[in-house]
Amino acid sequence: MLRREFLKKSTYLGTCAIIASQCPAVFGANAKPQPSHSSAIQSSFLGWQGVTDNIDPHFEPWQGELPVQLQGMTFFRNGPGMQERAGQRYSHWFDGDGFVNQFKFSQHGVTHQGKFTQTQKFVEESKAGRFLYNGAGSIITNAKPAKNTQVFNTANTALLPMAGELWAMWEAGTPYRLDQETLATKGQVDFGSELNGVPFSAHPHADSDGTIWNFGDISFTGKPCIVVYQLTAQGGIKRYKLLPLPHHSYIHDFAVTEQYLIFYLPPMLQQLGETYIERFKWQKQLGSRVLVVDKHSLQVVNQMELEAGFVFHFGNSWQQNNELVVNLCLYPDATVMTDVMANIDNHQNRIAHEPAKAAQLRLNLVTNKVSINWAEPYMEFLQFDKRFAAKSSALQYGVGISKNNPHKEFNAITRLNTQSGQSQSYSFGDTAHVEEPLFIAKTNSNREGQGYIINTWLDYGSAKSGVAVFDAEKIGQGPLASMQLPYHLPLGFHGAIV
Amino acid sequence: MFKKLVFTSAFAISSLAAQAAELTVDIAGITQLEGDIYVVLYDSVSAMESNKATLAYKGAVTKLQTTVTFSDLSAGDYAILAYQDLDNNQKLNRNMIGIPNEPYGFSNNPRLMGPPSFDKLRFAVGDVDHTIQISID
Repeated sequence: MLRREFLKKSTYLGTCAIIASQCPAVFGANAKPQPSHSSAIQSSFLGWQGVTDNIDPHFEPWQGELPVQLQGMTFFRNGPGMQERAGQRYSHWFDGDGFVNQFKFSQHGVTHQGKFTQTQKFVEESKAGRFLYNGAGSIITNAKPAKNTQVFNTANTALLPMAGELWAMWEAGTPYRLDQETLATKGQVDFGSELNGVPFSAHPHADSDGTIWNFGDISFTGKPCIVVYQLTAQGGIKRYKLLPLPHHSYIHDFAVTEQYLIFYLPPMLQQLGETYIERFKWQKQLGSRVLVVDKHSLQVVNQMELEAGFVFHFGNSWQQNNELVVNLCLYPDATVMTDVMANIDNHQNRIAHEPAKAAQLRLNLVTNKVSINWAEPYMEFLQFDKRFAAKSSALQYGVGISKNNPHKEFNAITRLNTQSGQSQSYSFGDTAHVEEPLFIAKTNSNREGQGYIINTWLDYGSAKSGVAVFDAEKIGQGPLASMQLPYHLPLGFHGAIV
Repeated sequence: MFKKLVFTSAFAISSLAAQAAELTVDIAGITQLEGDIYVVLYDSVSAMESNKATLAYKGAVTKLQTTVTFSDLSAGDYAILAYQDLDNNQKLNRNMIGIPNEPYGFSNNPRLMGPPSFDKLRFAVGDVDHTIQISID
């Protein structure tokens, strides 16, 4: 039934089959050269300079003591690596080719290695010795027309451990499969010809039954729609459906409760622009919308309006009587994507914009009203104790900003209790850029928050990247174990631990 | 309609027009020696929008560069879609959102900002022979 419904929608889109096929070409337009950064790069830009080669295995001992439970585990991080070729530099942080860092934990230390994911784009451009395609937010000289999104899929955003492999995900194409041990690229995930190259977001979420939910935003085709996916625990397609949106928007992540999928649509309508990012027009006066989708029927059952805001990431969310409680990192507007990340070498932009704050939405399913409770701390890359996924919980973890930091850049790990409003943080210093923390529950524990927090950070002052491990209940006391590499790594987005 | 215009054995296709030039289309960017190349020519906005080919060519892919000639073409404006049918199912395969997953290209090799309008693909054929190149990679 779903398939038939789906095909009906496909036909609708099929009327612009070739038309849709050209939409990726929105990423291409009149090229304008980007200046190369070779000098006068402020040290705080270090994390966005990029790398040019794989990094061979290097061992570095722990400072402190790694908990026994974590010994033998492997921590992975994904992010944009290659930012410059043949004197041309990407202007948008989103656009660097995917580079995966692997940190193998032993009792005594960490063995790190890093590799570029061998995407079609990376292989083709490596052979050419230059960038060939415009990125989502960057324009390069003499760009080739992009015939589909997969040709410039950088696989640079997130990682999903799957059936013994690792999926390297982007948000507008099909993921790539990596070998967990060697990081060798094993090819694209095979979702079948109907789904090959169809956007698949970098934020799939596991359900309590083991299945995995995800979506792909295909609004760039000119038809404001998302594809909703439900995958088996082994990564096969269980079902998928095309879901029309009330308007064009940008959706990066979503929330999952026991009964619903929740999508937040910032007011970002379509406009003409040379790149994908330039085509989003922030229209504050329209406000934001939230769509509540029933997981069984995959139908929108509630649509709510609220004040304008912008979201990348969600934390834990659950249903409480007639309300859905949604944790998220909320920005007052979209400048983080359209301006700050779009001109990542602009130091002033980076330190002056208003970062995300932890917030909690309450969506009333009866009245269709939304209330927003803003929390005090700036927070991004929310994580939580997954044993409490879709259940009432109090604790959210993320990157934060220390109180004495002169810049509004994330330099701390923060733990927020959304019930009490209290938070605790650990600062990595004024010259730190701190990355997404992952929560690992302690074995033989059952209380929410009993676990470990693991994160990477870059100290651009000393040009070293490191890994820190905290007791999740004692973040303020500093890491239980940490290590700093004698070199730095590019700042990334999301990670996974196996 | 479209299939009727496909002459599988013919390399060059002659229209019924009384006069005018020969159009040579160089197809570049072929990376796989498989299937067939289709070159579909439209002579107007309406023809393209309704997918009514004015002329079409189909030929087996035997080398990495193919040249297709349309003879006695009437003077006027045209647009071309070229694609490689790798699996010989006589169509351009697309995923569920309409994006082709077989090699294809358009006249003018445009980096388009939206739908491939006739205008963006348009090129003129006059009284003299004319050659264009389309990359399908």
